Amino acid sequence: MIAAIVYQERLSFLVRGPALIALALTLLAVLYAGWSGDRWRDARLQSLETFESEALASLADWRDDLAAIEQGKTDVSPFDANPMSILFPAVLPPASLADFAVGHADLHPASASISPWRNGANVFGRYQFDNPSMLAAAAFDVALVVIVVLPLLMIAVSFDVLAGDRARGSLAMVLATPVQLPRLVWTRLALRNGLIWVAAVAAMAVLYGINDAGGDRAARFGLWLGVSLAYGLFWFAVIALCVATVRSSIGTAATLVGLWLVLTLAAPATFATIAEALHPTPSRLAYLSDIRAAQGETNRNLASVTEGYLLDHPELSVGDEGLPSYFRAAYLSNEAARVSTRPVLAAYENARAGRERALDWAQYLSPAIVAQRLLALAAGGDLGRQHRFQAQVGGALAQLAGAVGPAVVSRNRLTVAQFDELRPFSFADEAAPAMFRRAFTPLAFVLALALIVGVVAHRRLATQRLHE
Amino acid sequence: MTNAIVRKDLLLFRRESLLGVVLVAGIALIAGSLLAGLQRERVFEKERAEAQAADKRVWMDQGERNPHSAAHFSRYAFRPASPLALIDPGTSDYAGLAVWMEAHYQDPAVFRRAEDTGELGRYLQLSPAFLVLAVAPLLVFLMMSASVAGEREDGTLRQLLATGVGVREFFLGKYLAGLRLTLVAFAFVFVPVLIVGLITAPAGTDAALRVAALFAVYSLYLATCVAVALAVSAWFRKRQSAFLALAAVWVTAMILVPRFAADVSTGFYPQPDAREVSSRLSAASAAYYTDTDRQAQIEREVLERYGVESVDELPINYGAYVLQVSEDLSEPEFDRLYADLNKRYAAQEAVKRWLSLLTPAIAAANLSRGLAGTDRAHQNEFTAAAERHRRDMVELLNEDYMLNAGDAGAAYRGDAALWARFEDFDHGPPALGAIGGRYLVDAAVLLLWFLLASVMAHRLVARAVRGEVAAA
Repeated sequence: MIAAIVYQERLSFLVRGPALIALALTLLAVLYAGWSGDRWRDARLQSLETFESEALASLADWRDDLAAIEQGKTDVSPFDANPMSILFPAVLPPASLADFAVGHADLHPASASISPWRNGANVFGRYQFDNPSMLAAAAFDVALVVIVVLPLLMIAVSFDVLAGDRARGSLAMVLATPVQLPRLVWTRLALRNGLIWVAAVAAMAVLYGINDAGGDRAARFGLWLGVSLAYGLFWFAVIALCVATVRSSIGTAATLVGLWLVLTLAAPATFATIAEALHPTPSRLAYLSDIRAAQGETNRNLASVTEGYLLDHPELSVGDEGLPSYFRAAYLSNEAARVSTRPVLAAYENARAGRERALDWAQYLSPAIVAQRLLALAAGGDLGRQHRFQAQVGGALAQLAGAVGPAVVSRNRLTVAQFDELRPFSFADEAAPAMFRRAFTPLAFVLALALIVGVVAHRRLATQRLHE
Repeated sequence: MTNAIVRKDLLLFRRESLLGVVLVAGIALIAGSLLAGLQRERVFEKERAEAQAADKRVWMDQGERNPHSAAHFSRYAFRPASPLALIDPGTSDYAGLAVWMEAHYQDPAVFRRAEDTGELGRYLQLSPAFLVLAVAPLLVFLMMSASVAGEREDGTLRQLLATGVGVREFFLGKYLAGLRLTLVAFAFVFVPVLIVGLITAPAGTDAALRVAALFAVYSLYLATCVAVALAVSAWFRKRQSAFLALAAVWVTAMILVPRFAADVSTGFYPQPDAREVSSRLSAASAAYYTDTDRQAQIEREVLERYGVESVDELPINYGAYVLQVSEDLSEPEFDRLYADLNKRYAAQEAVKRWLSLLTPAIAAANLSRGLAGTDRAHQNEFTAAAERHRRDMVELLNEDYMLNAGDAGAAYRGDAALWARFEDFDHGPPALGAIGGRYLVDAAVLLLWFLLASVMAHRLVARAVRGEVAAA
């Protein structure tokens, strides 16, 4: 009997225009989005590689100067191999699946200059040169296609799967045959939606292959596919429930489009607004004011601050007094800023954690939120990754300041051995198992929801046969 | 007869229970988004005022210091509140809030609020403008989908034509009914929003003019949506087909194409590489210090002008003089750099504007942001004003150092009297009249959309009528 349904479906749907249009749109949307993401990732990678190699070359020159001075070079300026001039590059490389979802990565800094000259407000350098109009629109990436476009295509090919027959009066005739209504509907839905998902998964697999960046791409792609398919299953079940519940085509379509609107657009936007209202982050401007107040205070009392530092480090002997005082002033004011901004940074962390907790609960109100978060996580475009980078940069900056501080304040140089003990920055990304653990519960929830909705739909379909 | 058709359609709309639900939902959404907008803007204004006061306090309390050291510490320019940001936040969250007016550098605006939003921050922003530009068209399409297709499907169009109704009367009746209902509902829901926007707008801005223009733009946009809905409804013989086609049009035109257009724009003209721009900025800043020939030439010129043999004999501080010369040499480089950036942004926006021929939503969104004072043009006005202020103030500090340092040289210190001469940055959003010309193309595109959609609706309604007559 299934063969008969498939044959009839092939005649009535698969070989007709709408199926081909849906197929073409799916392929085009996924491939375009993947190509666009790959273009973005390549540009980002190239920029970071250039920055890193240039900074490392300068650092190597700096070390050569230091080694020459240590070996007795005489014609030396106080500025040569000064510890304040150490600059370690820090980069956040795009994750191995970054071409699938840009997420927050285009908005946040991906590189930093870890140097004693820098503080929390300027360690990431000048990076805000993007056109805000384009940033506001966000990227057209594969995540957008999976979350927003594919459910719509599923709705478009499925809404009349039963109501069409009912409107034409052919449903009763079909049911006069031994075919079961649930089997008829599930088979038709599986064929129509299967076509879209086979095309989508095939296109994603092509992207996975041609843009292969190595690393943990396979694990990330596995998570991506799992989330995408679970989300697709959820919509599959919802469509089946609507088909089983609403009798007219237009009613089914209107209900599904309404659900799509609420779940994919309104709910995430509303919950984002609520989470931000409940857990507002402290003002960036207040952070800036704190830094400047600390810098101003240090500059005003530079002599006493320096004296205090030297008293705390009695082992230091003051070196080259020819060095301008602003070196020492910059270091000490950055240190003062680091201390004074701890409360505001702690408040930032609290607000972020509060938002995360709020979203951890709110995501269960819309599978689109789950999908959006998990797809961003799989692709490495999630906000958490950006924050981890920023926190690691902050840690590295504090570590470097601690290492060079005594030399800077006492106007001495580091030794080559001391310099060699400093570790260059390397971003510690979240390991794949940790990512999977985080994804497990929300993913299981979406699958369970799909199953429950599917069972309800099946029962409704089973009882409808009598009615028809 | 036209009036009779209008009355009949309005009666049918009123009987539609869905309309009441939609209206209530619309009011709730608008009220929610308005409250969220009010809260946002109130918090922003408070933070800005506090930061501005703190900046001044820190500046004035910095103690005695070399004026050039003070120019490095400098002050921040904070972006003023946009006149109607609570209606349309536009791109304001993606543009920097503050410009550091330090010596030697024309810095970009920093601290983008979007960087502080949560995980779902890149999703659509629930604002009154979003509801009008994206959600309202869906409601119009839903309401209008059966306008002509329903008459054809039920066979009532033939009956109507049998009474002697012409194409013109029928078209106008359908169009005016949709228009009247849409605009009355829009006015009912949105006029309070505009009034709140007007009341809460910063003093001294031309908010009234902007509010009036916003009302006109949104009305024209919704009228265009009514025409599109009528055209699509007239294209199909069945409600269902018309509804589905309109749903597809909505998703494509209001949700996907605007995002796709931005993506295509950055495909043609990629966003600038921040590292590259930053390096160029540093090079521009060092224009004097990396040009030894120029340094020698400037020294010769100064010595000649003052008739002395060496810089030690100069009646001014030569170091401070050079600092200002370096500023003067860097400024044209900065101008070129930012002009290049703006050219690239404009090219991106031009591509997007071309794609506004695919949907009226792009032109309407551009106009909405412009009138709300939250687009890139307004941001540019702010950063340009901050740069003018920076140049004036750095010159003032260098000049003081140059003329008053005397024998103290680099040990010369300025005090609070000098810091007080560094004026507070005071910049309001530009008057609409001064920058209105920038929006003419978008206004023309939206008007063109309205006219084309109306003409198309008329033609398709005429075709539907002729089809019915022929079938009869």
